[in-house]
Amino acid sequence: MQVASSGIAIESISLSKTYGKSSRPAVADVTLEIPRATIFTLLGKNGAGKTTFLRMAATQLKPTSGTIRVLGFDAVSQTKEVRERIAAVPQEMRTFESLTPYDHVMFALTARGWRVGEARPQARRTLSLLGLAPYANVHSDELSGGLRQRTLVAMALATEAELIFLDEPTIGLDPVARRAVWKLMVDLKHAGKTILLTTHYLDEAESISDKIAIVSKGRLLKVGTVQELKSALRETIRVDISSGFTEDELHGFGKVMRVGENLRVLTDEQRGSRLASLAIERKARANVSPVSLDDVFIDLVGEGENDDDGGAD
Amino acid sequence: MVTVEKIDNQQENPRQAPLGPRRRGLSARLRSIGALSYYSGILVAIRSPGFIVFSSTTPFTVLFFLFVIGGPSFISYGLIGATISILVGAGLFLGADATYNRLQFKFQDFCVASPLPAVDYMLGLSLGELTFVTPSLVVLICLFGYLHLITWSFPLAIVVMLLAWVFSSAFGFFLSTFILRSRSAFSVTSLVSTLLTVIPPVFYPIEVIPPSYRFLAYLAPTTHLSILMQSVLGLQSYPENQLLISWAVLLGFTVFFFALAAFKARWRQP
Repeated sequence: MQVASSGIAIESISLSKTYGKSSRPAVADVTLEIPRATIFTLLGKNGAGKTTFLRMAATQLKPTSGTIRVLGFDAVSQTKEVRERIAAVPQEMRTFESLTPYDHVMFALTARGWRVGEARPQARRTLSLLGLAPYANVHSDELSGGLRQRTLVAMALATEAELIFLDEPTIGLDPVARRAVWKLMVDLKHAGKTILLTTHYLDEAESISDKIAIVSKGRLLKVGTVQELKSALRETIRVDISSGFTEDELHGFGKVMRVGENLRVLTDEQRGSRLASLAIERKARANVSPVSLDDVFIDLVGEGENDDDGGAD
Repeated sequence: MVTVEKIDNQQENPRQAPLGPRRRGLSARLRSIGALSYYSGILVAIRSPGFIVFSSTTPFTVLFFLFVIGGPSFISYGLIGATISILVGAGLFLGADATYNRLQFKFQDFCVASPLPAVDYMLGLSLGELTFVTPSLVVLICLFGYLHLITWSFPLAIVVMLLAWVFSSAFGFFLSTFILRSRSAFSVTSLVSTLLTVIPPVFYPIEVIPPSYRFLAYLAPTTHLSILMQSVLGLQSYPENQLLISWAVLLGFTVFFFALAAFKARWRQP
């Protein structure tokens, strides 16, 4: 029975997942709606719960509690209906050494039941769109890591599934290759497909996402467009200072954080302008710019590399 | 400051494929199974023929030693043992490969999030695995012919071989979905292979085992495979009720493991 409204691709209600005897849930009480024909990004540190959420939506993992509906079907009890309509590239998926990129895409399509005659032109077209045509017949063990990663992305994107799950798909790709993948994702979105993406790359999230969900320690912290997330910060300006000020002096101007060897102050326009003037007076090195998604992210989840206590992501 | 350009291609997309799922009739399922066997077996065997040699090393080594130590009288038993060992090994190595596909390549997760059912995945991989042992089976069947073991009842021997392959593939696949570490995959399947094909009376007649211990041998499905093969090929005559029991046990094992693989294997992770 189809239960969700047609405009929603994924709907989770109080979704939770706890692995084995772990004391902390990998995903905790997540209620979320992902609209159709959008690129929706889950953004979070390692261990935040992004992959766990994605795997539950992609019917690869059973939730501990709560419900999750995918394209109107229950992802726990109506897996057949869901699986006919989705494709996924798991995190850390690997290519097969003796197969070429063309073989991989053909494998993905024909294993889904495509006829060889239909699959061939589709495989060639997808490889070409991802810049893989020159390497189409090279064995995967002779390809660079980036080309192998692109091959995996091609396997999912070629399927033209209604909903595509990409778990950190651009990891290890050079900037040009990343843009080729982004462009194909945007093309697919315009063709009515929905893409659920997880990434660590803030620029990637900012460039292609229609909506972003920031997750930390299994919980959903904030959902919105890039603009909505930025406007949620009271501060609008950031000042990066590399000399001439101590941390204590800056507290009067706004939120201070350490970014490498520099100090960053998140502030409003008035105080930002005062700080910039003071920096000029002191001949200090300062850079003023609008707040970015990076600032929103750090503000919400804090600094530090990982978000977990050893649980799966 | 790094400025981030919003990528938004508003051009008309050339990839306007019809939305909605593809129909999964029998022909689509057969194509899926064929694709899995071609890309995981046939193509790999063509490009890396070394795998063919590797998969047949143990059975042919045992056969060689049987011939050297036991002489020609044991060669017929050895041929039957090697055939069973190769087929059961192919099924169990499917378990090792499926474990690697799941844990190392993450290919099982890729397939789970697709219309491919677990049974088709298993059948496709098992047919692929069969590719690697087909040349050895052809050699063994030629040797059966050379030793005049191929008679009117040989089709029954083919049925026994098919059951050996199906039950061991289902068992191997079922096992693979529960193995937690890929480094355990080959050790677990090799151990099970030894327990099923080297220790029980597969390469030798059951009469070699003292009567009071034979019940242990009967616990292994491969013993029944061997009994049936020896009987069908006219090497040994067994009482009719023994043969009926062996057929029943073998069919029971095959149905049980196939049902286990189809309904209880971990396709989606708990």
